[in-house]
Amino acid sequence: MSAGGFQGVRSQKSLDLSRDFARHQRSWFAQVQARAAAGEPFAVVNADAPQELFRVFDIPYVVTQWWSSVVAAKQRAGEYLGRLVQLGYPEDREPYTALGFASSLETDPSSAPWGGLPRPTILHAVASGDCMRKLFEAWARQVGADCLLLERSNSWVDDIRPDWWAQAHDNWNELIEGDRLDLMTAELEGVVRWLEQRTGRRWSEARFREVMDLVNEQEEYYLRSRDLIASARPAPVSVADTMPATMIPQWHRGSEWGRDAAKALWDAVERRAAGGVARCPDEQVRLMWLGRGMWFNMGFYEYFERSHGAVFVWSIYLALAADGYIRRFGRDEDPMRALAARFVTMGDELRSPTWASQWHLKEAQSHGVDGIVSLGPAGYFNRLAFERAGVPLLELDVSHVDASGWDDEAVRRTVATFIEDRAAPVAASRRDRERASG
Amino acid sequence: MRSFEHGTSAAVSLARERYTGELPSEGAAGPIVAIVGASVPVELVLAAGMTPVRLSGRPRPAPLADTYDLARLDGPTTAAFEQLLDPARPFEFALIGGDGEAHSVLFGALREIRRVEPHHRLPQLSFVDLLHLPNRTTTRYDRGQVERLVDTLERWSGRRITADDVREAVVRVNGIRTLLAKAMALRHRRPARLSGSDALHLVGAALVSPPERIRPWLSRLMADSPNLPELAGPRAYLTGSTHEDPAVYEVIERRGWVIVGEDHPRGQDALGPAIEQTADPLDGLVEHYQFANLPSRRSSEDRARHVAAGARAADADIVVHFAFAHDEATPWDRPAIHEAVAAAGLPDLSLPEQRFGDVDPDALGAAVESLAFAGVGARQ
Repeated sequence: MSAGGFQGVRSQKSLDLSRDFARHQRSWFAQVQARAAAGEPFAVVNADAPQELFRVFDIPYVVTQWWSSVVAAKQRAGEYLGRLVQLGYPEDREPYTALGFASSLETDPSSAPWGGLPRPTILHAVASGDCMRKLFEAWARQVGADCLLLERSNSWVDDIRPDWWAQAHDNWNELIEGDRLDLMTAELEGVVRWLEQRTGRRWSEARFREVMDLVNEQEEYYLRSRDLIASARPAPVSVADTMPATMIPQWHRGSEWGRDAAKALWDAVERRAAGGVARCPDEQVRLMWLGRGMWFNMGFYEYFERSHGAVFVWSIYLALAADGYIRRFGRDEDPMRALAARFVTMGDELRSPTWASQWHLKEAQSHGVDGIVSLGPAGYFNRLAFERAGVPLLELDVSHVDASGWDDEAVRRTVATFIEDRAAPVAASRRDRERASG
Repeated sequence: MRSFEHGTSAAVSLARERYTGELPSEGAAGPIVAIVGASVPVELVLAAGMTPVRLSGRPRPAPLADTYDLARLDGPTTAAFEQLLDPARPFEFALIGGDGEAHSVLFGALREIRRVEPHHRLPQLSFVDLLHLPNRTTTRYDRGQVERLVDTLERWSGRRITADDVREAVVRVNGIRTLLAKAMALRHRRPARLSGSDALHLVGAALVSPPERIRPWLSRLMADSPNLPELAGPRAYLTGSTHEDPAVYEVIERRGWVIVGEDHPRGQDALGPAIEQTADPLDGLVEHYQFANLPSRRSSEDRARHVAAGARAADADIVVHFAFAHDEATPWDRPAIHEAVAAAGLPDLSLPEQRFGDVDPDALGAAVESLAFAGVGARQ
């Protein structure tokens, strides 16, 4: 397949619920469009900003990164980003978020993915990185929305616990610097006050606790699913199943539907594992996909199942849901501080040196991964951790947003060679060990 | 007009000669504390009896830093990283400020190096996470950071920092701020009396020198000012990315232009306005650094207003938006700056995606000269 003409390959999902979730998403989005069209406030919220507050207020919202994945899947990214350039904005700085901005410039809903993103009245993000503040302010200016930004603090302690996941669920008050929690808690209180005044909607503390409990319940199901997939041989499902089955309900965190969707995933994974139903019955090699999803070509994840018995068993989506989101709190504790604890560290798990490399390694080892395929460079500390642990790594130089540069034959060849030359020997040793240990 | 290479004040000659973008080897009044970025309160370092020296981000080979291949580290921060990793460095303490994402990545990387590669002999480090949204919540957080910095410096220096120590240090640096502002105003005259590249040398000297060392240079410059050469070329105000050395300035000024002002944090605004002496001196520091001139942290509209006002104050003929390819932030500012500058009645030129440390002088020169054909600078 030549570059530029690649249309992507759909994955064959093992779970019916992925299709159910996709249908729900369509129906939910139609409702959001209808509510926005009826004049309700409508927010576009970045993934690293607390959507829970909007849920408490029952303000319809869409998460930027979900919408960008829709646009990318419809292969409209290049065209939309070009419209940003026409306005003088860059197309290659934070492109995944900029795609949300760019798609807001669509003037023909009939040709837009899913009928188009409604015009937001509120844009909400954490002022992370060097350009998020500027990007959201420009977006807000362009569409006439209010821009609600949260401060982003950075870890400054001399030593951080490399096993953060063991502390994050219950001991987050000790894991995270107190000043950072104070700041985010105060920021969130400000958001609540602003939304109360701006929208005239009433805050309910009881509803807030309910939403927070639903989030924790939902993520607990992911934790159980993740742990079961890690231990099951062969894997009952692959990332082609878990990525959409996790990502879609994650955008509905704090709702009963989101909690029930996570339970449905757990039920399905448990049922398959108990029945010995495998994603790839002849599983030989277990792979980790490091990075964002290849949404325009989900079929990629099953390219090597039949040819090599190689299954992608891990992606950030389910694993981050399992380790990154749960913040348990007692009845006498402030749920706002627990919510702050969820978002203060968001992103560190995937990018900060100690956090990311140690977590990725822990996950690779707990899943019995024989090789890691990384979307782009994995980074020095990841490489070092994997190398010291003897886990082979392939760094694929491809984009997950723009299909125009995808050379399918070359990618297939590169990954196949990696599996054969590097992952398969590791897999053989692992299987021997697992057989020996029963 | 006169070229920037021609006669000038002895103070400028000294700055050119002694400020090479590197750490000075003389004049330190106490242990050197290497500073990464513009948002570390150097007044507290002085109050601790130590010498703050801003690390240069000047392009350089970075074999030690390159080993780590840190994707989110830009060129200037990589240069600082190299100096922090160098076992022959002339300092044992370093403070990293929260100017932008690269600085938090730098601190995180150094912290991890200390953990996984303990054989490296790193300086004692602290990250000063001063934040910059214009809200009280941020002010309160920053206050905590400043207090933590006081504790760190007391531990490093072995001496207690009193309120009077801080007040005195603020006075010392404010004195430099006042003198530097006067020196920079020499560029705003028409014709200018100080070139942009010379201004950058002076600012650079001020960032690596104790106040007592730079003060006589700046006083000398002002005393010499009536006799400084007149620089009558077309006048450009520079915005966009930070310039760690005068290389780009020199290319532009060799073409007969004068850079009469800029808004990046190594230019005329490097030290910012004088710090107010507040009842609790830490409050003044917090406010100053929360609102420090950090283009990557400023809103585009705020920056655009600042640029338009600065260009007018400098009596510029044009605003040049120069962006290095590594700069994630400044391309987002471009439309707002264009609009604000146009409203101020000035033309502007965009030079995007420039290569840090490898600017093509012919291409840059040609872009600048094309303005002459467009009639910019016709008032000369």
